[in-house]
Amino acid sequence: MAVIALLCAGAPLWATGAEEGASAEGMQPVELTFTYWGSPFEREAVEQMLQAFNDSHPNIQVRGQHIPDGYGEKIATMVAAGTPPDVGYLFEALAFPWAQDGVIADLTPHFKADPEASNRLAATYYNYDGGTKTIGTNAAAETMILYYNKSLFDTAGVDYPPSQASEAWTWEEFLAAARKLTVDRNGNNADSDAFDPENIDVFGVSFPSWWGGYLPMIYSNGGQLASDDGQRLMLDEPEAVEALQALQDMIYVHHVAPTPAQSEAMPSQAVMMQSGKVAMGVNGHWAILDYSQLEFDWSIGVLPYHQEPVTILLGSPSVIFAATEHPEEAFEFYKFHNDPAQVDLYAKGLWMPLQLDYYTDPDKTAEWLDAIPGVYPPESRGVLIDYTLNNTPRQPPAYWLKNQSQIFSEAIDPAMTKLWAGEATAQEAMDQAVRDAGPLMQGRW
Amino acid sequence: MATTHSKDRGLSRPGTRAKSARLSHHRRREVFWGMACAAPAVLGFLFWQLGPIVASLLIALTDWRIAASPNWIGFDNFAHILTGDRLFRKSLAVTAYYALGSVPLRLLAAFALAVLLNQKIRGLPVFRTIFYLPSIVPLIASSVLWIWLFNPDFGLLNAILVPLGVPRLQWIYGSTTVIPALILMSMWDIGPMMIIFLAGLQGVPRQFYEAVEIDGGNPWHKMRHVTIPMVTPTILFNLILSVIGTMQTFVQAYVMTEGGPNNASLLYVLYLYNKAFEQSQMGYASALAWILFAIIAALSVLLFRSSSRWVYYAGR
Repeated sequence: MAVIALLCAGAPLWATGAEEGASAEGMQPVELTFTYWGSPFEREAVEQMLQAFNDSHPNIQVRGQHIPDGYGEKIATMVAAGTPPDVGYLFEALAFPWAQDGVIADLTPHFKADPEASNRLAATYYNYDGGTKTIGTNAAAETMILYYNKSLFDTAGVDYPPSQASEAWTWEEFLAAARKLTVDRNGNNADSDAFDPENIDVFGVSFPSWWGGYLPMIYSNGGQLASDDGQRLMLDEPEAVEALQALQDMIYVHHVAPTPAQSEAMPSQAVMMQSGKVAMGVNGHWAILDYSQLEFDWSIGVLPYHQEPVTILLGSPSVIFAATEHPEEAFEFYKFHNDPAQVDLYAKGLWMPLQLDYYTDPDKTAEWLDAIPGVYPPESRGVLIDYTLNNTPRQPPAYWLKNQSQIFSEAIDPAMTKLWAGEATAQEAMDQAVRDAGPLMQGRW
Repeated sequence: MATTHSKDRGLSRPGTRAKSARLSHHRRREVFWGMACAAPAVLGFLFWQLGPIVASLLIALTDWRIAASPNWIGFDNFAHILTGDRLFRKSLAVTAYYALGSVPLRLLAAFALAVLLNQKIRGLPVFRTIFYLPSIVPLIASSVLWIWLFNPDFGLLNAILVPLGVPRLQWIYGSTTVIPALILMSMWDIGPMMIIFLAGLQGVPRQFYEAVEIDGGNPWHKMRHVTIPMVTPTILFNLILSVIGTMQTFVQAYVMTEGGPNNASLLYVLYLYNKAFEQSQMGYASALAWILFAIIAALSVLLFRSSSRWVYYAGR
């Protein structure tokens, strides 16, 4: 069946794109299409933004197209059929090759001509051709942080995780806290001799198994995922191996974090934390949206560190398709669609602004963080503002590594599943990853 | 349209006309309705499948990545798959392992169930329904269900086995246990195969069994010398369908394991899917699809060829 589906997928190649006739300029408003993904909740916010844009720009009318599932496949089909949208979100793994192939517009001239628009967090730009061209920036900024349940900390008599990078926990401090917070069904914590790792009631920490979970730790230990020239995977170097081994040890040596199978059986991290089954959770800042809707005493802190406190900035790019007939209008909308003044997803905790002034100007910061009381905890100024500005030294490979989707799916992820399943040490698993990645490394964008 | 045309012309060929003239009125009506009913499927195939199939064969000879226009690269995709692709070999081995475990077990279980459900016992329709029921559940739903069953810590399987002294198995979370776990799961939807066996069993003439009884045979003799030979055509049918289906298994690995851990459950079609839709390598994926087609076609031919040695057709 799937074979037939693939055989069928070839059809659009020979479907001719609808050629536009002579375009009637003049009084007619310019019409643009904008494609995006996201939950129904996000859709609502984006529709509001579109409404606001169309109302304030009578000469440009943007039609939104919400594609919640199979986004990449849908856009690929549109591109193959010669009818791409004008503006849209895009996965970086597609955006870079498409930019290279000329399907995505280079926004360098637009950003050069508009200093206000270009005043964005440097780490959110997707540059290529040795930094001479840019796809644009993230649709929104995102960082990895630490969530915690205050009452579990109070019960265990452990200090809350720090909210300033300068006071971040060392790995040992983090582990010590996690051991005290991990409790078995008889009430013994992981420090106790009577602790029963087979029957854990509360886990000290849960962290995601994808790169958002382990990359900050590798960076923090002075390691890298791949060399700067993108020619070699560096996960088998001591810095990376040490950081990964420390993560695996949390599961199988210290028993303070759930195994993959245990995680699989759990509801979302936010719900686990609300129900008192997880004390700390590494997660993206976007989970603030979920946390803020649950009734319990939670807050956020900075991640622990090995050698220096760091987190990562991540996200996916918004792009303008090169085929658009109205690049100026498309860029006008591009600036608008992730303006925190127009989209309430920033105030609600899902997105972080790209614009620098939201991080440097206290009034702007307040506009963002205090817009809806009770969403952002007081610690946010340290964890989101200061930490993002000063502790995101390295762009994740998603911003620059060629062929990253194949490298991840065929070399890194298989080795990581072995690591998380406890079937290999970090060194063994990463030796395999580096070996398998060898022929896949193609340099950087 | 061209298709309809040529068919019309075919019907008006002298030979055909002469033949159809000999058909009775009733028979002609039957032929008409038979063709009318088959037409949607035939036309659907010609318009919606044949075109894409030919297109895919052409795409397999290009480096098409969706965004850029395709370049003709001849048999490079095939050459790379057959010589340089580690995961092609891995996924083929995984699929073969899965098929070799799953197909015989499913056949055996479906046959055994059909034999049992062919007895004269009370509540027979209820049992038949119960055993067929899992096949109605959408595959995605049953996959989610089996994820729960397989959970090493909270799953039902370990909850039953561990107290019996079986070590705590990792099921789909361990690289050595994941394929056996999927094989076990494949036993879940043997309902359709069982129904076909049941139909085959009911076609066995009663008098053969009576003959065995008169000769003093026991139930085993009936099974060995009557039932099994008489249902060999059904076995062949189920065997071929099951081999084809198993080689194309996708949803379980896609939903439950994503091919992991460490590619231990990277079924062939999942790998193909990743190439096409995760990495946009449509040309490469099409080549993979054609290789799978060739493998399945070869297996089917082999099975058909072998069938003359072991399949018994009554009346031949």
